[in-house]
Amino acid sequence: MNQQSGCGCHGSQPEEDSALKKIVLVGNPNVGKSALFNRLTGSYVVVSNYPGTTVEVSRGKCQIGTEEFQIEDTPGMYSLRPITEEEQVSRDILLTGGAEVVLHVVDAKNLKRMLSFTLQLAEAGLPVVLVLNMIDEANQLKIDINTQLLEKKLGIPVVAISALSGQGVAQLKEKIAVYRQPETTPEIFYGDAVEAALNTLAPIMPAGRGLSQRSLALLLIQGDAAISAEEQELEGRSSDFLDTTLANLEEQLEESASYVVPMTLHQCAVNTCTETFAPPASKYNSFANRLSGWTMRPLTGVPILLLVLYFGLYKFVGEFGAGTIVDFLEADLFGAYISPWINNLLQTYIPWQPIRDLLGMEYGIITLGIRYAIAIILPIVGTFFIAFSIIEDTGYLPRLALLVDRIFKKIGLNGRAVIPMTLGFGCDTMATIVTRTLETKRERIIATLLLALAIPCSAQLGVILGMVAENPGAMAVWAGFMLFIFLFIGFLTARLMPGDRPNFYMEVPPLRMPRPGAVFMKTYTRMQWYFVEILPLFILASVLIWLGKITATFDVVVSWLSYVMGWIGLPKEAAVAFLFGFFRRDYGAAGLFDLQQAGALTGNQLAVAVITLTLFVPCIAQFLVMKKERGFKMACAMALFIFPFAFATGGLVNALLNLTGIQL
Amino acid sequence: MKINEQIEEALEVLWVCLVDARPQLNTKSQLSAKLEISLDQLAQEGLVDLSGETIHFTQAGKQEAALAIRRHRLSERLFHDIIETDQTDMEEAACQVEHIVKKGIEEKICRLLGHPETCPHGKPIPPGECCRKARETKEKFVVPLTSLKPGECGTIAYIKAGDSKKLQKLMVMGVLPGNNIELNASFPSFVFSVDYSQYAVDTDMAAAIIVRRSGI
Ligand SMILES: [Zn+2]
Ligand SMILES: [Zn+2]
Repeated sequence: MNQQSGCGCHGSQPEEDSALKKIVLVGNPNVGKSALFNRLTGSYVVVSNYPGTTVEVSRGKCQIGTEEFQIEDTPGMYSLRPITEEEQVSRDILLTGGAEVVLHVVDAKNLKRMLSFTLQLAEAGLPVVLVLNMIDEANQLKIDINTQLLEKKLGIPVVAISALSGQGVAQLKEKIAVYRQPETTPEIFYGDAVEAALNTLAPIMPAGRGLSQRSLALLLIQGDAAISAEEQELEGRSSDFLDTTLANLEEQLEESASYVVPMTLHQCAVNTCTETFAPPASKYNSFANRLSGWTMRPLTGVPILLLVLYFGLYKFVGEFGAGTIVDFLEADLFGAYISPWINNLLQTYIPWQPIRDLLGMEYGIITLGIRYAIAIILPIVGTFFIAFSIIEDTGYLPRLALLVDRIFKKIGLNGRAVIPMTLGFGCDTMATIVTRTLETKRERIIATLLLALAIPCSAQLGVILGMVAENPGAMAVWAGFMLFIFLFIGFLTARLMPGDRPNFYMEVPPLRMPRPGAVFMKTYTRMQWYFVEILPLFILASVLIWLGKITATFDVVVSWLSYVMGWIGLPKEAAVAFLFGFFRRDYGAAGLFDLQQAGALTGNQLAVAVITLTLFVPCIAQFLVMKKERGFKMACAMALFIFPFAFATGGLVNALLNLTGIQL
Repeated sequence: MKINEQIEEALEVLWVCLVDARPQLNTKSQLSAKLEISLDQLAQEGLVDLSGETIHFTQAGKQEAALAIRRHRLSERLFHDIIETDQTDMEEAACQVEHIVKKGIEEKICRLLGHPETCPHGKPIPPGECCRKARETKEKFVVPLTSLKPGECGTIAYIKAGDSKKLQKLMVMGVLPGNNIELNASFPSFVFSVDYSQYAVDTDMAAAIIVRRSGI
C-alpha cells in the first residue's frame, strides 16, 4: 500500500515506510505541533489509529535536502511518564525507537514550563532537536531567548521558528539535514540516593530500546507501571532484587522518587532558563492587550461584537457582497448578457424544447443552477468566508466563545460551539462538519439541529435581508422569532437529551493582526471546498426541477403545498418557492423575493414567509452532510421534526399577528 | 466513648435542624424522631433547653455542636479535596474520622485546607480559633480560583478535578501545582494566565483549581 494518494483519507491502516528515515514530533498539546507537521509535509498526510487504541497518529512525508523523510506527529504528552492513553501511545512510539530525529516542539513563550521534558528526552539518549515554536509571539511579548546559549547548555540543537508564518522552518530543515547524534548523552544529577539506585538498576534494563537504560531505570523507580511490568517479564531476574533496591531507595529519600525526579528536572529547567530566557522588563501593556481585555468584558465586549457584526457581516457581506457584487453579476452580467445569449443559442441550435429547458430558459442548469451559484452564492459566500477568515485570524472567536458560554450552557452547548454556529451564517453545510470539534455526542446533535433549524446561511440571509429591508416591522418579528426559537429549541433539547453538562475551556490567543496570505489561503480552501461539494448539487437540483417540470410531478406537489400555504396564510404562488427551498434554501428565498418584488405579499405574509423559510428543511447538501455526520436515522428524525415545525410556527405567527391585529 | 459519639452525632443533627434550617419548624416530636438518643438525655447534659414549644441549644450545647459540625465538615473537605474519594465514601469516612480528630489535628487540617469556609455540599463550616488568627495575620489562604479577584495572582496548590478528563484538560493548560497563575477576568467566564498563555474556563473548571494566594 502506498500513501501517494494521500488526500487526508482517514482511517486507513498505519503503514511503515521502513526504507525512509523517520522524524518524530513530540510535545505538549497546543504548542503548534500539527501546524509544523502540516508545514513540513504539505498535503501527503495519513491519519490512522495507533494499533489497539483509538488514539490517532498522523504520518506524512517530507523532503529535506536531498533525502525524503517519514514524519510522525504524536499525540500531546507532558513527560516520559504517561498518564493518559494518548501519552502512552506517544511514549510507545519513542520506546520502539528508530527515529532519526525527535523534534521536541515547545511554545517559546512558555519554555520554562516545557523544558524539563526536553531534558528528559535528551537524557533518554533520544536524538532531540528543540524547536521553539511561536517565536514571533514571544518576540512580540518582548521575551528574549538566547538560542545559542541554550544550545550550548543543553548540548542539543535549538531552532526558533513560527510554524504558522514559516519563519525559521528552513533553518530547522538545515539542522535536520546535518544532524548527527552526539557521542555522549547529557545526564542530570538526581542526588546520591537516586543515583545509587540508578547505577544498580540501569545495567539490568533492556538495552537497544528507543530509550536509554538509565532513562528506563529512572522511569522504573518512579513507579512506571508499564516499565516495571516489562521488567518483571524478563527472565532470570528475581523480583526480590528489584523490590529490595526500590525499598532501599524509598528509605533513603524523604519524599517519593516520583516526586524527587520531576522536581529535580524542574529545578534544572528553571536554572537553564534564568540565563537563556529573558522575560520582558516590565509588564507589557500594549494597545492590543487592553483591547484584548475589552473584548472579554460584557460591557465593552458586546458593543465590540456589534461593531464586528455591523462592519464584517452587514456592511461587507450584506451590502458589498450581497448587494454590489450580486447586482453586478446578476443583472449586469447574467441578466443582460449571458442568459439571453445562452437562450438565444439554444433557440437557434436546439430544436427540442425539453433540452432547451434543461440547459437554459427559466429553470435550466445554466440559467438557474450556474447563475445562482456564480451570481448569488459565490459573492455572498465568498465575502463571508473572507470576513470569517479575518475574524478567525485575529483570534477574536475564542473571545466571543467566552462571552456567550453562560448563555450557551443553557441550551446544552458550551462557548466553543459559537464557532460552528457563526460559520453556519456562511454555510450551514460546512458548519455541520465543523460540529466535529465539539466534545460530546450530545453537543454535536444539539448543534446540528440548531444549525438546520434556526441558522440561516449567508445566501439565504442575504436574500431574506433584502426582502425585509424595506419593512422594519417584519424584520423585527423575523429576527426576534428566530432568536427565540434558537434559544427555546436549544433549551428544550438540552432538557430532553440525557448527558453530561459540557465543560468550557479554551486557549485565548493574543489578538493578532491577520496576515493576508493566511486569510487568502483559508478563504481559498473554503471556497474550493464549496465549489467541489456544492456546485454539483446545484446542477443536480436544476435537473430535478427540470424532471419535475416535464413529468408534471412538480405541479402535483405544488398543488399539495398550496393547501399548506393556505393554512399559514400565504398566497398559493408561494408554494413554488417552498418547493425550490427544499433543493436549496436560497432558491426558495429567491422565489419569495420575486413574489415580493411583484407586490404579491402583505407585510404579515412577508414575515410569515421568511420565518417559515428560515426554519424550513435544510437544503439537500446540508441534509446529506447531516446524514454523513450524525447517521441516517438522526438526520431523518431531524428532518421529520423540522418540516412540520416550520409550517406550524408559520401558522402560529400568522394567527398571532391576526389575533393581535398587527399589520406589518 | 460510645456515649460521646452518640451525643456528638445527635448534636450534629440538631445543628442541621436548628441552625442551618429554619428552627421554628422543628417541634419536639419531629426532632426526637431524627435522633438516636433521647432529647431528655441531651437536656440532662445541659446541651439543650427543652422549656417552651421549640427547642434551643444552651450556650455550651451550641459550642459543642459547632465543634462537632466543624470537625465533620472539615473531614468532608479533607476527603473530598485531597484524597478525592467519591460522594458516598466521603460521607462515610468523614463520619468516622470526625470523632477521632483532636483539637491540634483539627487545626492542622484546617490550615492545610486553607481555612475553608464551606464543606463540599456548600454548607458553612463554623470557623475555629486558627481561622480567626489566620485572617488577622493575613496568612496565605488556599482558595479556589473562583474566589480570587481579577488581577490577583497566586500559586497553584492542587487540582480538585474529580474525573481524570477534567484533570487532563487542566494540565493541558499548564495548570500544575507550583505554577504561578493570575486571574484576569471572572465574568462571564474565568480568564486566567499561566506563564505567557491565557485561557478561559467556566466556573466549574475554575472551581477545581485551588490556589495559594500570593497575599495582599
Ligand atoms: Zn457537607
Ligand atoms: Zn482554620
